[in-house]
Amino acid sequence: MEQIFSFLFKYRPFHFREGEFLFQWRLEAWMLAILVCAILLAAWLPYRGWLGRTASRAWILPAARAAFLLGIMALLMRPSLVLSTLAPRENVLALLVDNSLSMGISDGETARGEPVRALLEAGSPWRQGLEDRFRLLRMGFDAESRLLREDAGPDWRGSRTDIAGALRDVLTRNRHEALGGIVLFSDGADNGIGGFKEILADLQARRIPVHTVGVGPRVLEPDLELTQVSLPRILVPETRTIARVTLRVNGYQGRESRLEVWEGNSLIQDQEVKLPFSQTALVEVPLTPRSRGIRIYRFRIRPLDDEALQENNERSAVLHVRDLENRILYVEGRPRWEYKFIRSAVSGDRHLRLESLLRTAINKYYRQGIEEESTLAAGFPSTREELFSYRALVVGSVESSFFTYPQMEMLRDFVDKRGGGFLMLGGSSSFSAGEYQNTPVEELLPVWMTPDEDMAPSDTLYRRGSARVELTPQGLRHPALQLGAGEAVNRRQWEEMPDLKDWNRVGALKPGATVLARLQDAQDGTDVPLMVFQRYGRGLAMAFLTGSSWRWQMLREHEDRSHQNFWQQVLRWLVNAAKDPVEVETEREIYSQGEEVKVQAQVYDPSFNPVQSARLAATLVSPSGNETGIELDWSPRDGGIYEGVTRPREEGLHQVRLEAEGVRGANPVSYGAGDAWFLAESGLREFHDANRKVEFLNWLARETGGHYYSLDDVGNLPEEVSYVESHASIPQTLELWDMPANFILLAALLMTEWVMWRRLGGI
Amino acid sequence: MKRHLPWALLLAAPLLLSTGPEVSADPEPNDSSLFQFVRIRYNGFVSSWGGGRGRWVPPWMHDYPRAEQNFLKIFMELTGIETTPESYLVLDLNDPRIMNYPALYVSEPGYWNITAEETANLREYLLRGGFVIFDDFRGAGEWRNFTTCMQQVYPERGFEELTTDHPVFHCFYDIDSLDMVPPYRVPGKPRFYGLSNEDGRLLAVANFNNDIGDYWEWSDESLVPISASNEAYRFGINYFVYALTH
Repeated sequence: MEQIFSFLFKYRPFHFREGEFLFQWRLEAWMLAILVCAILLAAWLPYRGWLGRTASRAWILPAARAAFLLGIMALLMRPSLVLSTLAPRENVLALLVDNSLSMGISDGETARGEPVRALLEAGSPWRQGLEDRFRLLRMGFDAESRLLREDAGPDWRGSRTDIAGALRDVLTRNRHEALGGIVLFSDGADNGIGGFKEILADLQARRIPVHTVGVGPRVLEPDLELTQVSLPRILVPETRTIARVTLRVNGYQGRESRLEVWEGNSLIQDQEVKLPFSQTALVEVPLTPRSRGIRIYRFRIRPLDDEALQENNERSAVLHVRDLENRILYVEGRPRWEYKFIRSAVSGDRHLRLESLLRTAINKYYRQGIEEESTLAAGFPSTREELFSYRALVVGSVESSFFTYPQMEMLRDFVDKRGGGFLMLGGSSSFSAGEYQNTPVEELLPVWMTPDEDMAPSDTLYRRGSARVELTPQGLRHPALQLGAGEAVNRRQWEEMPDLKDWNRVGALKPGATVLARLQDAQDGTDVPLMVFQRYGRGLAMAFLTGSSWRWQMLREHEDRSHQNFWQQVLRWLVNAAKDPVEVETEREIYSQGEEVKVQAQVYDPSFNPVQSARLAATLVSPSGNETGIELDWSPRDGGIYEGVTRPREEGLHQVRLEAEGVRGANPVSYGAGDAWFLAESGLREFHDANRKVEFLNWLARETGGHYYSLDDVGNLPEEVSYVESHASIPQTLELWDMPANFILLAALLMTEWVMWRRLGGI
Repeated sequence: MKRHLPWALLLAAPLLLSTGPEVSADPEPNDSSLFQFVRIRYNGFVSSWGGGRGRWVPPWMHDYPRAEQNFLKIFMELTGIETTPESYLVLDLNDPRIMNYPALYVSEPGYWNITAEETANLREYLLRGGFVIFDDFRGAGEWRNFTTCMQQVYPERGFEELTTDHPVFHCFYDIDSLDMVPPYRVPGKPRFYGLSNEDGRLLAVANFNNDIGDYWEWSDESLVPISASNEAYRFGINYFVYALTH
């Protein structure tokens, strides 16, 4: 098609797309108007007698002649295309070749990068075409860029693809050269440090186009890819958690595979996975790390036959298993079985310390689980320091008037500012029945206190009866509600749970609320939320709208640990989400070696007010024990955080250590310490998301004024890249008057006039 | 129109005064979400003297129902417990429904002739977290019979005498002396025994050479000194508060 176009119009479509059309013989408007009028008159005069007397089609005759004469006039005005082009061999063209592992992936018989090697070989017509126009600079890049020698081409061994870094290197090397453009050969699977915004601004300012040549298939098929593993960063030992593994499925829809979880050389999980008919699958893997330390889990989806790429079937995840000072405060308004059995359920959990304040009678309290005689001696904490020393709060059947208004504000801030976990239990004096309407506690809870308007008049805010528990889909997957391995076992276990005997009626759910369980009774139509949570500020708030979960203990065999597991998991989940006064984290937990790692830290005083002027000592500790300082600067973002970057130079597990100090009054004070862990890997990331990123490559070219090429049309590149509008370009004029299409058109007009003339009775 | 206004206001008054749904309906006394005083009917040897106002009744029934009625009145008055004076019931020891009530009261266990079904049910009850108060028995023979029964239920451990430093004597009232005067002549000094599990949690208490239920039964009559009745209530309340907190 393009050849036909070039024959008819003398030049390729590219020239028309890029060039500016103009007439070299430019006439003033009045002269042009006179000429056009003269032509129209000349075309009309010979046929003036025909019009009106013969058929109505007679107008074609003067029209065809007018068009012919106007065409002649247009050709005499020398129509032309003007293009900006670079003077031959006066400019440098950088050929930037992706040398990363993903370019070595075999897409068929050879590596996807081999066609690029063939193009760049000395003596190839393609390269010669470029050398006629440019001085070539051949560079390879992965994590870093370097010149390619003639005797050593790309080897596809780089562990990372840093396109922005490579472009920056090219610009730096050619700061004093006339750089006519950059040709980037890549699959576009960039996993570098980013920074495109800056480099694009630089390229645009210098008017240097980046032409991209995409290699590799747009879709890897058939292929299974493990795209993501989601796991908490920190966990208390023996806490059950769920690893959420996302798979991309291409061509294996409906098949079965197995998902393995490895810890070191030990296979700790191996579960069957039925691949869906969609392109994405989410697999949930329950994990319960037993001992403390840094756990590195390797998740692997077992390859199926003929898989296009097996290296993308696994990913790692890092989990820090450590003890936390897990103090939980439980306030209960009256002696009741729920209190006893919750205490009993967590008494065997050495990672949870439940300190309770039970009002046994008016102004009479019983404290349990306390270590110091002074703890809670004056009742419910009245200072932020005392309350915020807990990581979670459980409020039982205790009416709102138990708390002073400042104490309720502290409860709200406990969740909002301190990031603690809050749980309100059902009972005759909690939720609406405890008159929490319009209090700061209502603000943090995931449900509104005012009941629905459609509530039956006979309904009460606190009801006694009998209703079954039913988990929602979210509840079935929630780590706190896992009572058995696997979804089927868990579902059955919950179906067998004894009925509950009481529940609280509340209003609508808040917009961010997630319902994990409902209470249902078909006989009296009960269908109310039982377990709901929401994020509130930095923390979590949960409503558990019953006071009879103790029946799950007393009405099941004593060997059954459902009740213990449930309460231990719920409370661990609450405390696990709680924040420490000094928190440090990295953006991700897996990085490539040499990649930039963004570090963020937050520092709070004992009342959990953000500290802006802390002296931070942050250190990166490498696997070999080398320590490198990290500079952290305060930023007002997100309420005040400290930010900095570091770069792992070794492969393996790295620790970011942070100590925060400050001055209170005239005295130095320590705010505490924190750490974060991440894994620096080489290579594996290259195989993930390794298909050709056409959109990205197109975008990069478009933003810089270049063009995107596939290997199919890369042959046009040598000619096209010289037409560039830059500081070094000169105009080139292409005449259009002698296009074959012009003469064909004029001949067709003459022929039309003659044929019509004959048909209408001309001699 | 103005003539009808007073009538309209009168009709609308209930609506204007309405304050929304009730917090809670009055529960049935035996609703299991309320605290229930559960007396156990066990398999026993003989009937004996001891029913309310002097009747021949089975030993498990001694002091029934006035003991529990009076106790519940005092218990709900003094503590924040949710119950009613009528929230008491009797269950067989081999009845699986005992699991709905995590504290039980057993009278005259000296006459207890335990069956295999009772053994299994009570053992399971204790292992799940239940608590039992044994009351109203005396003399070496009855003690031997009682401990033989309990040995079958919980062979891992036996009853041990409690001292005033045990939490059960401090969870509501601080009971600093166990020198209690029994309500009637008994063959020895009242003693308090406890059966604990390996974690130290009391599974059961036994008022040996004592009958605090008798004090509860007659506390509203001028048959026993008020101070002695008070003492019996103090023990009873502490037992149940312990059961509700441990």
